[in-house]
Amino acid sequence: MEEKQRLSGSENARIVQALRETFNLLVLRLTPEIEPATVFIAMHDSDQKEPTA
Amino acid sequence: MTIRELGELLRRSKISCAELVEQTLSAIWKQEHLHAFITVTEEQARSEAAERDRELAQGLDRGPLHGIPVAFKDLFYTRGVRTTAGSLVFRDFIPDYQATCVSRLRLAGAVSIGKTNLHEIAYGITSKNPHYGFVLNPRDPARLPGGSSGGSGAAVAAGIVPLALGTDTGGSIRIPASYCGVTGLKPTYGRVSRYGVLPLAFSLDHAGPLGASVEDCALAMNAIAGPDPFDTSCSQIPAPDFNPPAPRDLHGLRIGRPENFFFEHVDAEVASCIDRAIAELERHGARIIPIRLPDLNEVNAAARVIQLAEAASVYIRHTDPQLFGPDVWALLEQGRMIAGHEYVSAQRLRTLFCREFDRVWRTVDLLAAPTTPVAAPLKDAAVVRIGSQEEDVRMASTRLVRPINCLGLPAISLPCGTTSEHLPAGLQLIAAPFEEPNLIAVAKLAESVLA
Repeated sequence: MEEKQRLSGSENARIVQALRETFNLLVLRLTPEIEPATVFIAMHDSDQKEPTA
Repeated sequence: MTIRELGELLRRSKISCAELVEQTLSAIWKQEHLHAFITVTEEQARSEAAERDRELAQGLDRGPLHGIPVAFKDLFYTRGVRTTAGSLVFRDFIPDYQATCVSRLRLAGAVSIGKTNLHEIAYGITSKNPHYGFVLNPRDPARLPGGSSGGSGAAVAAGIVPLALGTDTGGSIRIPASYCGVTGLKPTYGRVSRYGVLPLAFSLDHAGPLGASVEDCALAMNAIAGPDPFDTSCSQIPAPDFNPPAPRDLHGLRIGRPENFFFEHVDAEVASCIDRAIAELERHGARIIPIRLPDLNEVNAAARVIQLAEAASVYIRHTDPQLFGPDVWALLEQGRMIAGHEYVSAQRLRTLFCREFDRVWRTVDLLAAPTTPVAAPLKDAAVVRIGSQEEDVRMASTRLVRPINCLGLPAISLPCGTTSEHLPAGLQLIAAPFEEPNLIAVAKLAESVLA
């Protein structure tokens, strides 16, 4: 599909749906293990503080 | 030639900075068919080289990069010089300021020779740019150079420059390094400033070097890494020396050979190159530890959601499909379909994955794995065959590198032998956050014993 032809809206939707099916299962399986306050801005850097509510 | 070799010639007056620039320009014109460059800054390079020569004559030596020609992926803002991102959207964009990486390399004495070609807006791995030409792989022009930093990889592999900067959102430094047979380093997230680098996906983008050797990448890191007040996502941790000498041996070092994910669905010849490399590291004293990793297929799924959504956000104002190649437009369209809650969930999962992966570093110091599961695919191939299975070229090329962006870990790809078709295989060494010096030191030893 590289540079040859444009995909239709429904073809793009099908690709996203395929990803979504795998991904949403993951979310349902794993998210209860995450503390609600955990945020994702700081990575690996102790000098950066997590934002607070 | 490497930066060290060129530096020796410059300091022994065997060549001047000006002559080096002329040689580089001549190499660019001779290999124009590679489409490695979008813009060549000929006059600027001549002027900078003349200044560097004057400085050396006056006894002012800026260090190892003094007078060394370097190239920048055309995603790095260069003041007064067109920065296209390989896109029609930015075909006339001339920044009025400069990326921190560019400023720092020039301050360290490097001479900017031009802007390298890339996959359009850095969103893809073929570097078959529909607007500025298909980048060819100097190792075999019938093969893909990889991408998105394909022009940078090709310029280094062709011997045009010893060093070029690239960016890596889902493997875009390491894939061309692997396919072109050069070295590429993706630093820890936050280690290198992204100020003045056109984003693709804000929380996955990394800037880093592609070089003719591990030391070339290390020298670049010494110039570009460290806190930057202009980039709030840049770490405040001070930059260490990224160019330690290669250790005499690897006694005491624990290298993990993943039991899952990294060696599943890998071409047999590539896997054999990687295993030979790991055996060499063991022969030099490293303890090789088989290790089961958290599921990186899951990390890849989250990373794809994040990248699709963030890239769609970056390009939200650009709504004319005719300005984009079909593959890039399709990805932007797909990104607009990702729901807000899905993006947030992906980032939440990412936090969990990072925490899980932290435990790996209690058992091992580094991981050794393939960079790509195959050597450079044929340029017109839509799929690659691995054993009896076919896989989409883009998915195969990014599969082993994309999770490392999501985890924000430093990783280096270096050549480690060739297949029966004389195509390079890439060894990917991965370390804990901010452990680049150790990663580089081990990579230097690996490079010397694998050469």
